[in-house]
Amino acid sequence: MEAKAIGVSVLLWLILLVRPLCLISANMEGDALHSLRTSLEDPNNVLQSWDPTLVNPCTWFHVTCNNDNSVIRVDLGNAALSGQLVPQLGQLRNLQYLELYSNNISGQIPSDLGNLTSLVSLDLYLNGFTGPIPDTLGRLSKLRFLRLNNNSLVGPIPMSLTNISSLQVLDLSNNKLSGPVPDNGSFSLFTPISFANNQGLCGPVTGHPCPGSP
Amino acid sequence: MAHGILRKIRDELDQKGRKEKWAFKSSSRLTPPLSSLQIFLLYSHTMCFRRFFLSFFLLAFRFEVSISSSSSLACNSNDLKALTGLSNCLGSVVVGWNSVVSPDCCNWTGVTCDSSTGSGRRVVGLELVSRKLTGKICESLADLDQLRFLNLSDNLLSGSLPDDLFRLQNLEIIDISSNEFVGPINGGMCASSSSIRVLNFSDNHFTGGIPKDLANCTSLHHLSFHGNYLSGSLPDGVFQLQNLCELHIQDNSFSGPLKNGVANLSNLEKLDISSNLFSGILPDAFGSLTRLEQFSASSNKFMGRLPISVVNSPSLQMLILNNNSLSGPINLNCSAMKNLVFLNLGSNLFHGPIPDGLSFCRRLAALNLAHNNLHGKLPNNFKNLDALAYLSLSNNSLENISSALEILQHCKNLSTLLLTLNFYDEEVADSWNLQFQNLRGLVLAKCNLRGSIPQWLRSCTKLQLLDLSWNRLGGSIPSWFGKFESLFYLDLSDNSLNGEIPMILTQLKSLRSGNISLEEEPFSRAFQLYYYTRGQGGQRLGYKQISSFRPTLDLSNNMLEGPICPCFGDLKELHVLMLKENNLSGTIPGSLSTMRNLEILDLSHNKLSGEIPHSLLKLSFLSNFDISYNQLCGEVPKGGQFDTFPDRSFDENNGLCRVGCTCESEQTPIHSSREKEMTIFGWQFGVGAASGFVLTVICCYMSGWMLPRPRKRKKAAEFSSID
Repeated sequence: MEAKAIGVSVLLWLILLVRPLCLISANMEGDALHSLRTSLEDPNNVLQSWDPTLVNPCTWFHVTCNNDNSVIRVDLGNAALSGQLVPQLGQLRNLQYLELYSNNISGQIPSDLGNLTSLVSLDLYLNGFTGPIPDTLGRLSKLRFLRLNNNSLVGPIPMSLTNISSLQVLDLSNNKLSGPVPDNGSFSLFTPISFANNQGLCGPVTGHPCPGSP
Repeated sequence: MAHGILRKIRDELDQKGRKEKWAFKSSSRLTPPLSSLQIFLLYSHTMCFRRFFLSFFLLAFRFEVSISSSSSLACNSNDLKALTGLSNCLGSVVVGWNSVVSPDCCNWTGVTCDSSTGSGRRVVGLELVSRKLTGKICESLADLDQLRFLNLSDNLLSGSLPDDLFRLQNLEIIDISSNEFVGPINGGMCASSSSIRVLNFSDNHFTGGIPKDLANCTSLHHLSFHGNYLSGSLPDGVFQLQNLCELHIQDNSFSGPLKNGVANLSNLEKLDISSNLFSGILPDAFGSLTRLEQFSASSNKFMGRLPISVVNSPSLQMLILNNNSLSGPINLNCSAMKNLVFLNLGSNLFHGPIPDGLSFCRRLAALNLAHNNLHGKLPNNFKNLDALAYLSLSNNSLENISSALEILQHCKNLSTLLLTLNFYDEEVADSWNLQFQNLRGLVLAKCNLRGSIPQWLRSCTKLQLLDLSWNRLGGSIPSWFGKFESLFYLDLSDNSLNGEIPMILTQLKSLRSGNISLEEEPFSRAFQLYYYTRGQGGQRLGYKQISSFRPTLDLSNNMLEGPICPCFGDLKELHVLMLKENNLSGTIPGSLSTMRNLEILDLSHNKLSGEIPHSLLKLSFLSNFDISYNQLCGEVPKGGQFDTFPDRSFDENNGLCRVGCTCESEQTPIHSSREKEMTIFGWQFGVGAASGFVLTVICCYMSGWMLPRPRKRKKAAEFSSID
């Protein structure tokens, strides 16, 4: 009987503690997504429902939440968006799917995306992204799909990506990447198609030996 | 939303204009729309509004004149230096700021100068709203020592505010709302001058408390801190601001009681302290607030009864106290509260019958009493509420739906009616003569109502949203649903409807061509109008207006049969299509791929056969797809959104696989080299999943956790419906 009472009181305390935290975190997620909206151009008004005065972003179109009202999906593929991403995206702690493919989004990929440790799919293909692939993406240990093809990304492929053991689909083709293509770790799975049509990539998988390699 | 100064004024005008049109609606329908000027004149009697508005326009007017008369003079060199310094701190280039092309900074975008001579014209105004500006604002800003108004709202500015900002002696208006500013709000406010009249820090990430020395800002009449992470109790200094007209501190984490000191703010017109952690009893201190028009304290922890001075206030137009723990009977004195237009007492602990005295609040346009402990019948004299447009009585213990509808049909302006979780187990009224000609939203869910879809709905030709879910309605979906040209949200789930899905549903005009009226409801700023509960935990999602709902057709969990018409592809504006748990058969039409806005497609638990059409890959917004428990076969489409759907979306079908199977070969053994990839959809998995499911159901049922139908009314919030 006493044990039950203790159990109930612990539960109540947990609820009391966790509930306000949930509210605050959902607000932060709404703020983060609203920053994204501010930074994007949206000619078709697909983000029209993104009203930051609501308690959380779970009722916004193209946003999906889990049962704790935390954002797990943002599905904005093929939505005619342009403009840039914002570092605040890194605050969506439970985000699993970030689908922004087939738009005209430009600027750099924010290194803060490396904070999205629940991310399963990062689909930024067919956009106008420039700059390097952030080294921090190697922290996305649950990532299965990494598709950054058909952008204007430059610089090397971060070695950190080879640590993502869950990676199943990788497409970095049609960019301006350079340097050696890693072939260790999870990269041993991938074929030349994943790296095709880059200007300066080298290594066994590309057919161009890297300078200085045997 | 962003609240720049100009936008604020426009909102103000909108809101007031709308309210006025609202009040006149019944008497003078032919009144032409008021121009902004007319509205301004109409409202210029409001002291605060006039002061704010006039001073702003006088400023603007003066500067316009000065620009034309003295355009030959260049800007002061110190000001030029300060602006250049500011521009260097920002992370982005301000278009139109270039000292090489245009050395006179008075011509730069957003810069306003005065007409002073001598050392050049001085910068008095800086207004850069919604320009996607990033980076910080640095100390150089504080070198603009003649600056009088500063508006940087709705940008992406970050960092903390420069310490010197409040040393600017002439500053009157500061609006830095809707940015990414962080840190505590600097003290030293109004230390060197008290000319600040408007301070808007809302929608940022400020932390800490309200600075105690705010009391020095004796000219302050508009103060907005809403939408930050501020905490602590309200310092007494706030209550010394005798000129304050508007105080907005909603959506923070302020705590403690609301002190009696609030009685000192005798000029207050708007007070919003909602969505904080305030507690205790509401002070009976509103008698001296003779100008108070709007009071919002929703979503706090207030308890006790409604203060006498509140329920007798002749000035209050808007009283929003929902989502607290207030109790006692609802004892509004409507013979005193002559101006009350919006009343929200939802989600409290009020008990007793609905008082018939409420019907003497003749201007009442929106009334929310949902989620209380009210019982009995709707008072007969609610017939007299001519202005009533929004009524929510959901989740009480009301009785006699026939009489309630009979009374409410006399409220000719009624456009939204929410009656969920009442009238338990009654027969739905099916009288032909009920008339609700202006009804746009009707929610009558989770009442366990008996009968069929009522005929009187035919009179509701303006219907946009209809939720009759979680009842026991039988019969078929009537073909006259096609008359609802504006309907874009239809939830008939969890009933006992039978027959085929009428084709007429695919001809609903607003789902085909998307002319969904985005007309904002006049009360939506103050109310979270609708709640939608979802899932086992029943977490509540708030919506402000009907048009915020995703366009939806939900016919799930009925006994519907026949095929899915290819004509569903015509519903180009549909976002949610739920047909699960019926007896639908035939194939999934490939034309569904033309529903380009579709986000959710649930066809699970039916008898569908054939392949998944590969054309569905075109649905790039599809985020939730479920076809489990059917008789489908062949390959699951690959790529696009389909890679993101979990395996359980495809469970329990005849012959679905990720690679290498076809419908023709479904009987032949699976090729051995593919076997490994198939296991997830193979029979072993199926048997496991099925037995697991059966076990779970048995366990849940035995433990009394899973209820087949709402057993107790208050506990029925298991699946989705709108309250």
